[in-house]
Amino acid sequence: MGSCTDEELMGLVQKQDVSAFEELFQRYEGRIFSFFWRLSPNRQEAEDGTQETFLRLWKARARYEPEGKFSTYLFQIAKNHFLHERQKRGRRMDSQQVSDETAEPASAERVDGPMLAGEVRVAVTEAVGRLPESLRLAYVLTEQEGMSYKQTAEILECPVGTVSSRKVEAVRKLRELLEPLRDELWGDGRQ
Amino acid sequence: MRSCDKYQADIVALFDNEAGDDDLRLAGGHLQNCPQCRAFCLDLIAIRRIQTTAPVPSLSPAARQAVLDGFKATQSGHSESRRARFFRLATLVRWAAVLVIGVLAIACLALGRTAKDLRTRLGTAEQQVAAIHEQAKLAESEERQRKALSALYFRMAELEERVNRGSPSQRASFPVQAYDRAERQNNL
Repeated sequence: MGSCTDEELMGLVQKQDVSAFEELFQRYEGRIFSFFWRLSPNRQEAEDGTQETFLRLWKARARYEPEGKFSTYLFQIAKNHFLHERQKRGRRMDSQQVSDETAEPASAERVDGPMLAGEVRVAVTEAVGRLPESLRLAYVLTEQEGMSYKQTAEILECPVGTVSSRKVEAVRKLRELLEPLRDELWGDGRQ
Repeated sequence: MRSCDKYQADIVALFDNEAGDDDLRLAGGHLQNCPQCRAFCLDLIAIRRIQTTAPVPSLSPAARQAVLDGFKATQSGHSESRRARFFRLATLVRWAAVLVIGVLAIACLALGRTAKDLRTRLGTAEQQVAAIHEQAKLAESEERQRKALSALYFRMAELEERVNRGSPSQRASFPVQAYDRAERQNNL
């Protein structure tokens, strides 16, 4: 079972093979959990998202086409669940969009004195969590999951050029959000 | 001429291994002369470095177990729902059979009653036809008697005529002379 590719395992899952499903779960649980964690750094939400993603994978196993890459299929399910949950909570797609007027100051302004390295990391994670969802998804998939623009485009169901422009826009927004932390950012690097 | 936006997009693409050698060369040349894009590039490096060192928690064993339990529950729920669907179907079939039998029984009852009814009507009709036949026979025999009587009167009238044309003695001896002609006509 361990030598099988993801796609072969998924073929077995389509034939109701439970052990193949457990193998896929072991391979991807960490990535899916960190994907949700990076989109929204909340343990409970990330755990719920991971659970729901794998349950949906089991339920939607018949729709999987072996021609496609398994990880793309799985991350599509995770992305759809993430967006669905956001909509369910009554939040608009871009309700958390950070504009010049609404952007909250970065954490550095709320503490006295220089931040510790751990706090800077938390501030950066929080800043990613405050990006608009479309930019956040593109940023997390390419930057933190290390996916190519092509695979990200397949997951987000948009053109490759859109992924590229969203990524650049996300970096710009992050720079704006982390502007008050500029010294700490570089200080952290120097530590 | 390329804008800083385009160069910044190239810089991001370079970090993501999505840019070619030409983009690298152009961006490198631009970075030497553009402090804004250089700052952009340095910030990108700093953010990336912090994020790669940021710890990401892993799924807790309890949550992992919950996922597997949830999956197993879905599986048993799935088989349970199949069982439930089977029983629902069986009940449906049973009720359908009862319904069909009921409809057939009612239909048979109705048909039996109708047949009995028809048989009774047929008997009555047959009796009526027989009565009509009887009447017809009676009428026919009366008609025959009337015709015979008429023929008899006609014959008698002929005989009377013949007698009248004969001798007076014969005429006197013929008993029909006394019979009134007009009365005979009325009888006819």
